[in-house]
Amino acid sequence: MADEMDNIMLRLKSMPDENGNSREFEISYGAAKLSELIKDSVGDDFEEDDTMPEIDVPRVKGDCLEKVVSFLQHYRKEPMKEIPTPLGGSSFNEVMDQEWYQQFVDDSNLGSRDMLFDLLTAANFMGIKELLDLTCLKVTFQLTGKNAEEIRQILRLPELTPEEEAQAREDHKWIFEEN
Amino acid sequence: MSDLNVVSVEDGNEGIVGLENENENVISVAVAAVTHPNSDNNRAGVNGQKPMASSIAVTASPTLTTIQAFSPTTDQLERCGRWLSSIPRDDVTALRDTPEYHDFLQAFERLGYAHRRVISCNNNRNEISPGSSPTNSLWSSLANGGLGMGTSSNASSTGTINSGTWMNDNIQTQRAQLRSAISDFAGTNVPSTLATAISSAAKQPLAQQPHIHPSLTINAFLQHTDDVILRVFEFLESQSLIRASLTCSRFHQLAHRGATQRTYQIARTRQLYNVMQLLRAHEQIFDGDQINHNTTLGHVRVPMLLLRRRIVVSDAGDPEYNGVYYCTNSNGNGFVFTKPRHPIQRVSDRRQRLQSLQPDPSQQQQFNQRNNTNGTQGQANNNNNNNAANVGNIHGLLQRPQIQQLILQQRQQHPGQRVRLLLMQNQNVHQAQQAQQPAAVGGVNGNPPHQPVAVLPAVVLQQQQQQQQQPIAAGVLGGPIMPDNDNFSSTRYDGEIAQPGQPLRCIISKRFSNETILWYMSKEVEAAPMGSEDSEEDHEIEQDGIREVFSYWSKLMVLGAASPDVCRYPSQTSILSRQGDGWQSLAVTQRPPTVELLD
Repeated sequence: MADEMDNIMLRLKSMPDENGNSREFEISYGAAKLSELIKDSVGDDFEEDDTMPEIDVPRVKGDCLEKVVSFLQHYRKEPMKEIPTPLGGSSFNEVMDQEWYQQFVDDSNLGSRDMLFDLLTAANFMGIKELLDLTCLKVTFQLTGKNAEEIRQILRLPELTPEEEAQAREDHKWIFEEN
Repeated sequence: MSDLNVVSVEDGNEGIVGLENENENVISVAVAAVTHPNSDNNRAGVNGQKPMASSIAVTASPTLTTIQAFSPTTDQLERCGRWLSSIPRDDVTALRDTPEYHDFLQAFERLGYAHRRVISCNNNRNEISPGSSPTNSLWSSLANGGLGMGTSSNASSTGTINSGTWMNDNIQTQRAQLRSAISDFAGTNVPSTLATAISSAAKQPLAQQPHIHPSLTINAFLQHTDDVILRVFEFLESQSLIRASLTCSRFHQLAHRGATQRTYQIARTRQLYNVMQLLRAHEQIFDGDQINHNTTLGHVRVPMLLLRRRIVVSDAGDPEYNGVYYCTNSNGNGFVFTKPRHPIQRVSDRRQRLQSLQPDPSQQQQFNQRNNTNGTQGQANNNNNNNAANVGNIHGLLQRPQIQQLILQQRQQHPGQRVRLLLMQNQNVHQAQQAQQPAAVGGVNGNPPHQPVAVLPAVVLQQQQQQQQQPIAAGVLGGPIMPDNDNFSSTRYDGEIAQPGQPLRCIISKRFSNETILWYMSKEVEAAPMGSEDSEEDHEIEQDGIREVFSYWSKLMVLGAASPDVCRYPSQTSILSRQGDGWQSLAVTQRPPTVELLD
């Protein structure tokens, strides 16, 4: 059964760029079914003899979809270990000890933090829990050890009002005093 | 601040007080909240009339050196001064009842609204409509003629601030601009104008968190749903989570929600979420006889606060014992202090670790050496651990292949039942061994007939012959070694369900040894399944259980040597050492630890 699903190919179509061009990627159903969106789109009564279905992924850019496809394909070969909570490690590589996945979300592979956020958005949109966990974990360790202002800059967040900030600091005075 | 004189500044309905120093520079301006005074004749308004309400309280920048266009008469100023002096300052209660105080609060609140409005409008402007400038905002009021400061550099700069770059500007620069803009108010007839601006801004509804269409933002994290953000927060430890909660109001809410979800179990079992149960507990504790005895209301568990101070263990020969312990539980013997063991010890890959467990070679060698003696006891090591030789190394004891084999045999003969381990004197071994068969039926030494007993000859354990009480590993005689496998989690954590992969613990608790209460230090050890290397079946860790292995003991501290409060805690090395005692090791290979209170 697993081999049959690998023989069924799908075509994923990304969001059009500023020129109106979309990118398309072929992927086996066995790999793609990790995505709830794709699994629901294809349905249960699809057979191998049917024409290759084309699935629009309108909220995911081409570059990002390429990486999503790469993730799905690799996951088919080497499933990612479930991320435990509590994490059990003080660094990303300690928690995620699978080298390919470490490299997948590394800055050198993604290029920028924007791509990481795009991946996170795509994982959420496409319903890929494993990719969502992986990207959330990466974001988590980017926030760990940072102060509020740095977190705000990393995630591009608006500020608390001074009253809200003062109240929040008063509520959590114990942790700041200890530091 | 010496030789300050009250100078006249401006006439009008508002009372302005300026203080002039020796250099004839006005160094501060206080715009008094002049309102309708009460019937108290001691309060005089300006010009003898009831002053109009302006409700503004603004303290200008200390850099302000001149005041323009304010020049009330001296008489008016004196009246203002007397009026200000008449406001009670020492009597807080009376002060709170004055209308001036209420007006001051209202003015302060309106200033706060205006401030928030500025921030919200700025964010709204940049997030929703980057190209347009906000309307009806305080900032626009200040910049567009509310002050009449056309020549002000700040005013010109406000008109040229690129809203698209606002988000990227230094926040401190923005605040400084706002402050300096406010500080320039004194150049014109500011108070009424500022009041108008503030009032108009305050009348605008406070901007809610704007709905940001994803296409309009540049990867702002707030575009994600709550579930995604909560997933990130699920991974964050408390300190980082708190800092994340300080970033924006939405993160503040979600961070608290995430923390609530993660602590639900512990709060539920300790009745922290159910105030009605707490109220019932309160009645049980304090109301007592006043409760109607005919009530059918049941009783609840009384939540208990455990000991507050921490324990730090150091210099233990076994490094897993070193660290900070917290009081996490209590049992029939007293308080229990625990700490999780090293994160690497977590049960994440149980099969591999179980298969790698081997008896300690050094302990095996010592065991062989003891067996080769002529039945005499082993000598204590240099740190006075007579007891270690007497009762054997409990930690190493359970690792002995012979012991494990014995236990395994009992378990195979009596599956699903606990195995008790008895230490017997040499002369009793023969009797016990003879009685072992009937033990399964009739019991030995008072054991229930259905409970299997593993009898170990003393020649294996080198039990001491002396009459003085010696600590005996309570885990051996004081209770079952193996926890109840059916309710494993609840037994370990006293009703709180242990999550999968819960780290093992190191434990300091009081226990009985014969009839003596002592402090014991132990740690949880995963049992190695016998024959696992030959078996292809998966062995769940729950089937093999987790053993509590005792390694150290100490006497209780006595009153006089320590205060009653300190005596509740595990015995401290610094106190025991004055009496020539200290923590003792149950193993010859382990140094006794140093135990002290923190906080």
